[in-house]
Amino acid sequence: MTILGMNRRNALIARLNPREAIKGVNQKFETKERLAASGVPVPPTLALIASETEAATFDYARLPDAFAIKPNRGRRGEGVILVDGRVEGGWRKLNGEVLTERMLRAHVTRILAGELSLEGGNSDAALIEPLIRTHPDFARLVPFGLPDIRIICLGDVPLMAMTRLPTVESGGRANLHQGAVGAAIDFRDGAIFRAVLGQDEVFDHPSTNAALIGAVLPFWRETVDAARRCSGALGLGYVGVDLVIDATRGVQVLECNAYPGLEIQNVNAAGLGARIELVQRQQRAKARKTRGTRQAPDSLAGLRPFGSAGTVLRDVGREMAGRVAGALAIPAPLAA
Amino acid sequence: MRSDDLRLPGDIALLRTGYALTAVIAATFGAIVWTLFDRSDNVVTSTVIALFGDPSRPWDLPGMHLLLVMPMGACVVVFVRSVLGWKTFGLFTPMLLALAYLQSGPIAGPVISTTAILIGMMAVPLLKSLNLSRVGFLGTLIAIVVSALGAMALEFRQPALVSAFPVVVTALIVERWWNAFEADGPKKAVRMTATTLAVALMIQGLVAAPPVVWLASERPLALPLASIVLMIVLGRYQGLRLSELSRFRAANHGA
Ligand SMILES: Nc1ncnc2c1ncn2[C@@H]1O[C@H](COP(=O)(O)OP(=O)(O)O)[C@@H](O)[C@H]1O
Ligand SMILES: [Mg+2]
Repeated sequence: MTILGMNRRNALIARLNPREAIKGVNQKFETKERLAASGVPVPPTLALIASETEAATFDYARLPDAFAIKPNRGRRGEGVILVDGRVEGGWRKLNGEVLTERMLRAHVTRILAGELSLEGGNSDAALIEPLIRTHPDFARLVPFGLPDIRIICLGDVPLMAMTRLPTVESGGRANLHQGAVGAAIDFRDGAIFRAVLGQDEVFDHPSTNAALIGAVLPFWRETVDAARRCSGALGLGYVGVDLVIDATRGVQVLECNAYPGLEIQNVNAAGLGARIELVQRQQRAKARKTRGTRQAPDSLAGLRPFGSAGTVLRDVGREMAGRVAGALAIPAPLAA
Repeated sequence: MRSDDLRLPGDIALLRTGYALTAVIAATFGAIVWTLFDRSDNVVTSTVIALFGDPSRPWDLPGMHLLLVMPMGACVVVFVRSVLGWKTFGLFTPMLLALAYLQSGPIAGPVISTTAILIGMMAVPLLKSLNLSRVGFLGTLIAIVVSALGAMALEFRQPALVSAFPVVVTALIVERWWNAFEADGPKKAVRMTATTLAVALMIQGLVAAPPVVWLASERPLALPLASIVLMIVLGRYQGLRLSELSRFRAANHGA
């Protein structure tokens, strides 16, 4: 079976993602620490406010002109405030509204009370990071907002990639359900080969009219490299890595997901199931070969990063090549 | 699928039929509620009784039956979730709702609990504006639903129609509905409510069917044991869900 459905995805996650690791990725600060320790680029942390006493003594005036504040255990972008400059008596939010220091303090209080965090929490910490500004090569595709990249990895093998491009309709949010464009990326060169808006295939960005098919993402090799390290760093055998490309800092992992969605298959017009089977077959073959010389437990093969990742990547690439060419062929007659 | 802004004549006809159907269902529903609580003889009540029989008749099942068919209800829920892929509130809410139906009667059950849900839905925005805690909210909601139904029952001298269990299950559904409404928007929330009610109706129809009732009285343990086996099989199902066939059409096209 080539499509990965919910049932099989859940079974895969139950087998490959230990509970502790799943809980771990819900905490943004701890996740960043772990990723950084494995050499994964993440946004720097300006402050972590973990208690009311810390909040009371925190010197807000020393915050930079542009920053992001969010609940450490937030979800769905709830409670994220993005600030882009100073104004009289406070800061200016990205949407143009004014944020006074009093409002900021009130927001921190709400975050600390757990009001904006994952269900079941009654306390949380507030995380403050520098504002990420999209790399110009990437930013030219979208009207405003922060486009991101989602890469699904099985262990250290990247399986499928897409970028989510905000639109005017999505209000600048990189969320497919809210009307952002999803664009499939070719692993070999970081070029977009298919794009969808809702159920419909599109070739240009609906808000900017920028041509999407064939557009190449900046720092693609670094992006894939960063994504591949996340599984090992976090102990997740199956993980959806969300990355952004910062104008000055380059590739940054924003978030890792232990239950990545399946919509990426519709964006790519391809199934994850076939690729997972291919990778697992190769892992088993590899494990059998090493068992000939050395004793290697089979059960670990599914989790361990392994040397032949390159071969698998190449195979996945070759498998996709035909389809990519097909997707590219469609706009040609339109242009002619 | 087409974009939403494309309105073809077929769509418009479909929409009109939908509205008409909704109106008919709403009218029938209202008439049944009326008949349930007002037993005096008039055009509405006699039409309803002629059409559906006495809507307040109970199921008349032995008490043990309710317990024995519970696993069967659970089985239906497992099937609906992992094979059909329909989204319902909570895990076993449809099963609880169906049990509530069994306690109140084939028509009175669904109608009363739906009425209670509608009352609760109207009360929720009001309660939300009071900024209550989660427990405070739920407690008040239960109280409001009980008061509204109780008032109706007393006003029309039908106290036997309203029992505690269905009302509590109903309040839970209203709370879930509100969570879904806030998280996924009105469309999805309405759809999930409708699916939950439909699955509950399915379970009611199944577990009160004559062969099931007969089996429960003749071979009491057969049903729970069969349900266990079936649920183990269903629980291991890893194929696509029916709903995913259309969801992943685009992915399938390329693959
Ligand atoms: N440092 C940042 N700079 C700019 N935008 C950010 C930053 N952090 C988060 N965001 C925005 O907020 C959204 C949600 O943040 P994220 O860290 O993914 O939290 P969540 O778990 O709530 O989704 C992101 O998709 C991004 O658009
Ligand atoms: Mg996010």
